[in-house]
Amino acid sequence: MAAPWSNTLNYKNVSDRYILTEEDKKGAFARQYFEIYEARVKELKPRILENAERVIGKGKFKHVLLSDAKQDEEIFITGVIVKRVLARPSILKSLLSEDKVAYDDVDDEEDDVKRYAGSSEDRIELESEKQTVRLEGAISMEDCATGCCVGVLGKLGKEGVFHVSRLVWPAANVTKKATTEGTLVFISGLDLSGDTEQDRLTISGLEFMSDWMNTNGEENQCPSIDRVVMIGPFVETKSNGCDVQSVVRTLTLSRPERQSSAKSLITVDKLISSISEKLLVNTVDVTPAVGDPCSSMWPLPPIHRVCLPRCGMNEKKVNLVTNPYEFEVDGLRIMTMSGENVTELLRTSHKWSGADVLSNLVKWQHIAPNCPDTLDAFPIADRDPLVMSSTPHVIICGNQPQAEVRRISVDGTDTSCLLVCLPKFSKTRVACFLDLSDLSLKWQNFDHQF
Amino acid sequence: MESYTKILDDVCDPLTVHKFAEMSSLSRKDAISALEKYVEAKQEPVWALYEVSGVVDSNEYPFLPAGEKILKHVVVPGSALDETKKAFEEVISTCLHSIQRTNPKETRVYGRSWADNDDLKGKTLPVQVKPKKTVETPIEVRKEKSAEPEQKPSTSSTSNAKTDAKKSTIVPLKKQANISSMFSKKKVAEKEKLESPPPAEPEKKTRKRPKTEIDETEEPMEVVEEERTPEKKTPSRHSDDDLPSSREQSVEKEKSPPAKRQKKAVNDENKKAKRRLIVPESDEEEEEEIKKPKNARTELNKEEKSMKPEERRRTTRIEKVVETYVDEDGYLVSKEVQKAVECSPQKASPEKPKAKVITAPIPGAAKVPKKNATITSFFKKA
Repeated sequence: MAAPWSNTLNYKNVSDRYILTEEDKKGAFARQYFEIYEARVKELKPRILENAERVIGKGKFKHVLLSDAKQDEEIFITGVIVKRVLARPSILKSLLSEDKVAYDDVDDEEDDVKRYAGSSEDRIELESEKQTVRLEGAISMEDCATGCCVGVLGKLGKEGVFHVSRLVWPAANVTKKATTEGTLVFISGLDLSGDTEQDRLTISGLEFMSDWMNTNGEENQCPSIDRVVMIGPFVETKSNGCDVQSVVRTLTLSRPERQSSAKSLITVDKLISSISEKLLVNTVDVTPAVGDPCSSMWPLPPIHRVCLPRCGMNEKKVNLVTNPYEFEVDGLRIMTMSGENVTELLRTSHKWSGADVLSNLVKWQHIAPNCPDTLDAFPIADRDPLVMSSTPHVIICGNQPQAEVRRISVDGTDTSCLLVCLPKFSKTRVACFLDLSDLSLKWQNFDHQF
Repeated sequence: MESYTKILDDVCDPLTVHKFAEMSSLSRKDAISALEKYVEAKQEPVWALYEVSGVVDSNEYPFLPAGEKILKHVVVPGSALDETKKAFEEVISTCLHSIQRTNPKETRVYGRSWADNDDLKGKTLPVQVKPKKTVETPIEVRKEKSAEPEQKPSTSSTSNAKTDAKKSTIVPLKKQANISSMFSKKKVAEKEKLESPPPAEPEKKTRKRPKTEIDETEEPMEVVEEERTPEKKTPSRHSDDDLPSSREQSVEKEKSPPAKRQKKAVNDENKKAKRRLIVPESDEEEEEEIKKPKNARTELNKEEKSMKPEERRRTTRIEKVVETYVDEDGYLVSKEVQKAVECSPQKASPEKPKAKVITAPIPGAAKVPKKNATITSFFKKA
């Protein structure tokens, strides 16, 4: 007789800020994106000033508007960073120059992300309320990204360049880390095409893993799993890509049509529901990515249950959630994201790795500062949902080329944050098992060739 | 064991330990031991796949950082078991995974139909708590739907009139027999126009040919078509006296672009040829059908006649419309084309504007495009 289902850990979904409200949607078609930046500055500016008082000293800096700055006077200004990268692709440029395919085709087999070529003419600018100024000095292209809110201590030079002596980022809010016991499993990137031969290894690996989760015993060594978090994309995104090449092909009507989305969705539904029915699995959280059957604008809403009817019938065991997805288990705050934000940021630097970007996101206190610059975002007016209101204890980023684990200390606090970069399951057949007692990770590979 | 051998003797496709345990209501341990005994007893031609779990170095995995350990679970045939174990730094467990009678390289252990919804037959999603607005929409939709058929006959008749009117703008040479009736109708129309007071009439009369001839051809053409249909049955009625003069033909040609006119003529001829083919098969039914549009048309004509002549003249106008279509070479071509568009006769009559009916898509009823299977086809199957 099957035991009645119940979670072993106290679970709380804290992703409310990622859900679009009626007020957000009202008038969105006519809204411009500058309102997001205004909301971002409004929310982060007090935290920047708070951190400046802690770092520089209370009363030891003069905070003024850039328009009121005087030459060679040390002042503290706040604004949004803009990185001017010449080699950054632009859809408008490629269409104006009548290049149907302006860039080389992205090779999906390559693990590395294609990065923009650097140039000596690349520069960093700061956009404040009324003016924009170029930044030089104690700031480099590796320190920031377009869309970051920052406080800058320095002097305005003669040539209209602001010489930076110190950068101040927003203060982090961290809740106290609680100790608990249990196991969480994270999987990302199924990329099912609907073709059984093409998806053979992925389906076999996932079924093999779910069978392994169904047994308990010394021979098996599978612990009791409280939650399996499955991060998208679940369906193959070759035809639904939002990269520059896909958009150019769409606009020039040269994109080939694909037929895989319906079959792959049925397969995803069956796989997820079969995992949720296993004895050792309590709940499966399904968080989408760009390319899945939901809006592709960040923050992504949950996949509608009509798209996954079997999961929809199993509401207690399958949880359709947003992307990013934040939840608490016994006081431990965990955030997962599908990784497009990190991938886009990787393109802007030759030195960053996935873990570097995640640690920067914690430093910048923003999940995706490149929204809406290089990442599609919903035009919200009064708030920016991607601001880190509370720094999580664990951040899991899916669909990364390299598997990485890093622990960083959160600036200004005594707590640490565990950063995990998860590779695609479709390429590696690797899942991440997180032991909550000591926040230790186990990478597990399920290789089933038959 | 004997009962299990009967079950296992029938096994051809891959049978996993998990499935066998479910079928025979055994625990996993007992299921594994039963299968192992069976494999030992039968040996060939039964294939056994074993599951090996252990710790492996990250050298095999380029995406892992150097020195990282990974727990690997692999399924291998019995013949490769020893070699596989040597590749592990530490073997944690080895057990039977599945058995089959076919070569594992040619079959799939987890092979089943993934992309169908057979298991969903008879099942429905549980009802979600929805706000009241969504509950009201189906009623509104029903009301709107019920309203639609009432509108349909009038719209269909007007649309028929419009299409007929459009067709009638370019008269093919073969239909010259009916144009003689146009002259009689013109005289009637001219009399009616003379009765109207506005002083611009003479100008209009002089300018009628480029503009009003198009308008005027509609009215008589409607009547002409009523007469055409009986004439279709007896083509012998066509006579040379009904042939139009060359002047009228040339004027018509000057109005519209020649390329389009040819196409329309071809289309009209094809459609009319189709009509002719249909006529001898079922004449009686067509007579009834003809009577119905006749009545509708006569009613329309009465309505139009009751209208002011100015309004009648303004029933159609030439508008530039952008048409887009896919070329033979596959290029998307957009052309600006002059088309005769009827101004809505409803403007004269005090009718309420049509409410925009927005119907919620009904699951399963969405149209499935023939070429590519999209998410809508998924709804239909469910």
